[in-house]
Amino acid sequence: MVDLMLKRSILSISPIVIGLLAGCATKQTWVPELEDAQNTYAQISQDPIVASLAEEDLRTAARQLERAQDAAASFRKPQTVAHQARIAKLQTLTAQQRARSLSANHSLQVALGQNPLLSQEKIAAATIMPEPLGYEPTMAAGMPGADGDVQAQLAALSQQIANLQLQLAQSQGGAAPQYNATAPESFGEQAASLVPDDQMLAPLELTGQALVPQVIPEIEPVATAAAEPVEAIMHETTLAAAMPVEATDASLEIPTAQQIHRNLRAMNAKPHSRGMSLMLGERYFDGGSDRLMRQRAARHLDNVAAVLKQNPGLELLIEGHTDNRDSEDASHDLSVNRAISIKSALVLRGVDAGQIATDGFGQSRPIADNDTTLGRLQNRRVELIFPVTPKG
Amino acid sequence: MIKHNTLTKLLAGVAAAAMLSACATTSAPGGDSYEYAISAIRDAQAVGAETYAPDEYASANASFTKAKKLMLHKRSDRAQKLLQLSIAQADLAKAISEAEHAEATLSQLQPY
Repeated sequence: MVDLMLKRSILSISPIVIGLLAGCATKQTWVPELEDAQNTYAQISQDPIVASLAEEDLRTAARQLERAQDAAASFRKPQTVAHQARIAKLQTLTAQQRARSLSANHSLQVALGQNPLLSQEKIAAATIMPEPLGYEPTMAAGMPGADGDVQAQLAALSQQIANLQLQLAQSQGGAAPQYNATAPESFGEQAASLVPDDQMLAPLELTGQALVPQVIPEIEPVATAAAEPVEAIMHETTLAAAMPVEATDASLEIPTAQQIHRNLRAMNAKPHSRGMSLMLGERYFDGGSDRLMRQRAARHLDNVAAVLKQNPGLELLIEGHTDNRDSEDASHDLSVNRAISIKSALVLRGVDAGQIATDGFGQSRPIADNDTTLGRLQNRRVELIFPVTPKG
Repeated sequence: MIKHNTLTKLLAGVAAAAMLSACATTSAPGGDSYEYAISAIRDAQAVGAETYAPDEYASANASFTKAKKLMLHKRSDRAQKLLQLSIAQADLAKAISEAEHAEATLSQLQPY
């Protein structure tokens, strides 16, 4: 009788115990600061420049992030997790800044004719580019959702090469080249017809001559919305000065898709859902105004102008953004005016105004929390987006 | 009697010395973090953080000031956290300033 009562008691209590245990198992609360720190670390640690030049700082940040994750996994108070995560994020940003500082100091040493600060190995590690490779459909097909985007970008890049080759041929000989013995009626059709079916390794043949095979570089994976850039303090630069854009004469050299890609990467442009993106932060503008700090922005604008002039088929979209400190109207005006300031500076450098489009979004597209100083700083930005789609 | 007085004085002296030495070796309430935060903020200031990274530098100072107030109120746990935050903020301010300074120097060498 007692046994039976005991069994019943156990049976009646067990769901409660299981419920409590299950409750414990799912107790871990979502801490936005931890997610923010994880995203920041994931993004910055992938930057080969930071990974190479600020290895130790990055390791410190990784250890701190582990502490934050451990605190979350041990059901510590959300405030404790948030605190650990905040420090991890700050340390990650510090690593990024150290890399930037090192690269600038290295460039300075080189400019002054002194011994370079960084070893060749470090520089090589920091400038790793995607290896050129032959296109293998099976690899792209293996990535869900990537195939269409990659194909589209490859097609765009191939068309861009074709356009540039066409311009080169026209500037050298006058007669428009023909491809596969057909005579397209318009420039656009002609360019499109220059894109071979397999798009990759086959030589691009002009009438009477064969050009060097154009090898298309691996395309960066298209960034997802979650992986949108979050850093703003430093997107602007790292090794830009150490690796100046080659000032080659467009009429003498065919810029390949690989070169375009390399030039954009050298400016620290990041893969963006709409192409390659370069960010200019608040510091390039005179406090709260649209007046460009010319000295600060000069090097970046020079590089962007060089790439645009070297590739007349390349378009640039300049988008201004602000934080939410001012009214919506004022923010919108400021974002538009800042974008126009950048465009004006590029046009002054000889870029065709038709290559550049501008837009301003005010405070409507934040990439970070407007409630924090750092977040607001990140939101005050101008994005330079290269859609990597040729004109015309 | 004299012996007793001497012993009393000796004991009093030892006690006083012990108290003084205890005072001398007592570290600041925030411990190492306190000293380290001061050092990190000074380092940041030395490389021009007030100019080059004003927001981060101000945040580091604000965290440090709050930590000092909390230490006065014996809330050392919270103060420790703020000191750690202050150190991280000051380190970031210093790194930004160094980078900004290097880039500014570089741009002067490459006038536009």
